Amino acid sequence: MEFAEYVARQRPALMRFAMVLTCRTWLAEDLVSDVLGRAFERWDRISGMDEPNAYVRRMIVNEYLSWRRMLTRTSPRAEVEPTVISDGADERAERDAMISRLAGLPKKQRAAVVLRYYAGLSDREIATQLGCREPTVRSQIHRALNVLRIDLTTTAPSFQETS
Amino acid sequence: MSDLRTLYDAFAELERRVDAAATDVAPIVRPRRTARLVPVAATVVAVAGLFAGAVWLVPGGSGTPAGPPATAPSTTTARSQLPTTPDELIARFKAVLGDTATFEATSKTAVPKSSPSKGQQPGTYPSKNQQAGTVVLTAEPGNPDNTVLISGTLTSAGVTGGFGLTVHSSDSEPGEWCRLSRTKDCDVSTLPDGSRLVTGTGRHAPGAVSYMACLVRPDGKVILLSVSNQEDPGGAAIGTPGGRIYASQPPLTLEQMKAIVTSGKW
Repeated sequence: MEFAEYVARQRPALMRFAMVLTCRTWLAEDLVSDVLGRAFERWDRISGMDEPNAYVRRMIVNEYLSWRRMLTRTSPRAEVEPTVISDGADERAERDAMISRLAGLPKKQRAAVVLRYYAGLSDREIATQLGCREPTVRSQIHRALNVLRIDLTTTAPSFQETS
Repeated sequence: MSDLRTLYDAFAELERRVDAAATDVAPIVRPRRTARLVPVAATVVAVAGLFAGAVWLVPGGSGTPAGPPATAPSTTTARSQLPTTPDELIARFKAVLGDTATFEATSKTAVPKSSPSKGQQPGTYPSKNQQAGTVVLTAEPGNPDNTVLISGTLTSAGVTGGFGLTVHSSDSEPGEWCRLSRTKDCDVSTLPDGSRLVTGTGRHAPGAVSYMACLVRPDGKVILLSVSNQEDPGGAAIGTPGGRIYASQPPLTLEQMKAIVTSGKW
């Protein structure tokens, strides 16, 4: 498969994933652009994989976890920071507060939460992506849910449990 | 305390924000970060030699209602030139759909054909608006090797869903599209003219259904159509929820999609 085909088809989904992971538009663009640039260089190998998307997504996670752009950036850019919109709509305010809490999570906790509840990965898959053990994944998610103030007993998950 | 629904709402809002931002013209592939640390002028020269595979995202268009009613799509073996720009593709898709469906293209992308082993492609050049170290290769209108993609919402018989339509040249095997789209029941058949027709169904999340129909013509031209009952036409292509679900089923059946990709109006 041509790299151009892959990008045309998958970039929107990769951008969404990166945005959920970073909560910042510019950073999502940075991550996806850099990762696709590196994926291009290795495309002969990646395109032959059974799950090229999973590999590219893992590249995004790794890039995010090793992110040091704040130290190396030479020019400021506009950020789409999570902001609370006081329009009187409780649900919207609650949602935006959730975004703020999500954005405030330590990176590894946030990655674990996103991989579990956004990407729907199992503990084992998350452990592989994050390079840690499964108990560590469960611990990271547990702590993250506490910070996010999410009570799992109040509603049934919309997605299938994968582990 | 909140519940998971609020977290999913937060994810959806973040998706909405990045989708909105995607309508800005922006370079979408960049070489390694280290290359960005050298001066701009030198970087452009150096990177151009090293990297030949960036793409340019065309901003999303406004509403694109389908064209006037026409006859149902018909199958033919014509070898017409496929669209090389998103606007051409929108116009051609309207003609092909006739009165089968209407659509709104919210994303339009054109990508020059390139691969690491083939070097710099003709008709590509750095953008004036590029950032340091970024080489943007622009799809040259009229280049038959361009990959052109449009996506958005499609409505048929009162049912709305997401769609994605790509036309490009490729030597990839049809089965690859099933693998990439993560569709089940992948079916590959050969038509009398030698074209290969690939169809598949994906169910990537509870309640989500995606259909894929792909025609690979003997001349290497590919017409790939994905339709889903949710926002992301490819469904949860990388394991993402794929956006909100519009209806219980996609707006088109697989048979309709086969007729569309094999239409003589392409």
